[in-house]
Amino acid sequence: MLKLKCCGLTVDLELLHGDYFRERFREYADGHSGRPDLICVSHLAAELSAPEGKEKRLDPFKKCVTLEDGTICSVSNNPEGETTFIFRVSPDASRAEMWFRENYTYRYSTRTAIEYRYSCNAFCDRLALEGDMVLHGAAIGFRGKGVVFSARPGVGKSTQASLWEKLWPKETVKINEDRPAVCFPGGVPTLCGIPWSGSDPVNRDISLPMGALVLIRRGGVPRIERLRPADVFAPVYRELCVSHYNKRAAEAVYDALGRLLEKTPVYMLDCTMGEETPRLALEAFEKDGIV
Amino acid sequence: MKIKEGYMLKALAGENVVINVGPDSADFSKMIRLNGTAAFMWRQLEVGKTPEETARAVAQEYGIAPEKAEADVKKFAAELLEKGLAE
Repeated sequence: MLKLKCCGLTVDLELLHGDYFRERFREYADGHSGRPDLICVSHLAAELSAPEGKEKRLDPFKKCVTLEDGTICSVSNNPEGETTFIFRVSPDASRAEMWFRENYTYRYSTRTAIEYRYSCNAFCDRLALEGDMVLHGAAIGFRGKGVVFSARPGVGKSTQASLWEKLWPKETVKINEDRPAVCFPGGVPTLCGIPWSGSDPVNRDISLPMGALVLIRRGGVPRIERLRPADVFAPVYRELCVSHYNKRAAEAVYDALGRLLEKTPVYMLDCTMGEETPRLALEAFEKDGIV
Repeated sequence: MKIKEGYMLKALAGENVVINVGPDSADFSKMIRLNGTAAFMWRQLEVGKTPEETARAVAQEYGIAPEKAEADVKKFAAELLEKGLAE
């Protein structure tokens, strides 16, 4: 059993590829005892049968099934119609289970990658129900403040984080290049590292008060503009990590987003891959008294 | 008409925003902001009031002529139907 603590939550993971997760999540290892806030367990079974409940077919190989007690199941099947994977998460996201088929080769992913992804999903829902949130973005700490660069995949958020580190190595620390959390201890938006960080290994257990959220898009010329909260709901919500099937979690994430936007400056940054972009952003942050 | 399941009005960062917490929540074309009057209308419709009852409530709340309130509610309802937020 791997025991973690992050964002104030205790998490127990009992996964098939325990050694991998023990190494990958080592910075968050914790010695807590008693009932955790989230327990996530993997199982192997010779055969799987899809649970019965209210179904929504997502694509030919995946459906969501909501059970009578509110348990949400993500069920995958192969082209032959056999159930190959089931992910069950309780309505309060305190217990998640993954069921894999024994002696079965998953076509598009490894068991470890699936465990990684779904344990993260469970954590994101659990955190949302605590009033906090996880979002896609590259997070850095700069002069004691948290800065998140958020964008669709491939736009260059990790590049921006790396440029800051390269330009100002003594003042910058990379925290998580894929999905940092924002928590609200004492009502203060606080950037927090979490163990999950996508394909990037940077997942530092560091918490800092939020300085700025920066939405980025590719541009020919660097440009930065401060946005009104009302203009950023849609682009930011798109980057939040939460199950769309747990309505309570989805609603809670909206509330968290509202709290974040009330207190955190948000910018739109047209970026290039050159050093002029971070220099321009820093100039704006200094002018606005953020760092 | 009634508001579709999964859509709700939230006050976020000082704005009235209609959000979707259902399986279609990735469709941001339906995320809309409402002014104060529209938010009032939404709250009436949300609790099951008919457009006629909503118009009466609007006229009373804002002290406007019933005909004007009816026209406003009709326009708002048509917009909700067009955007797929009501049925």
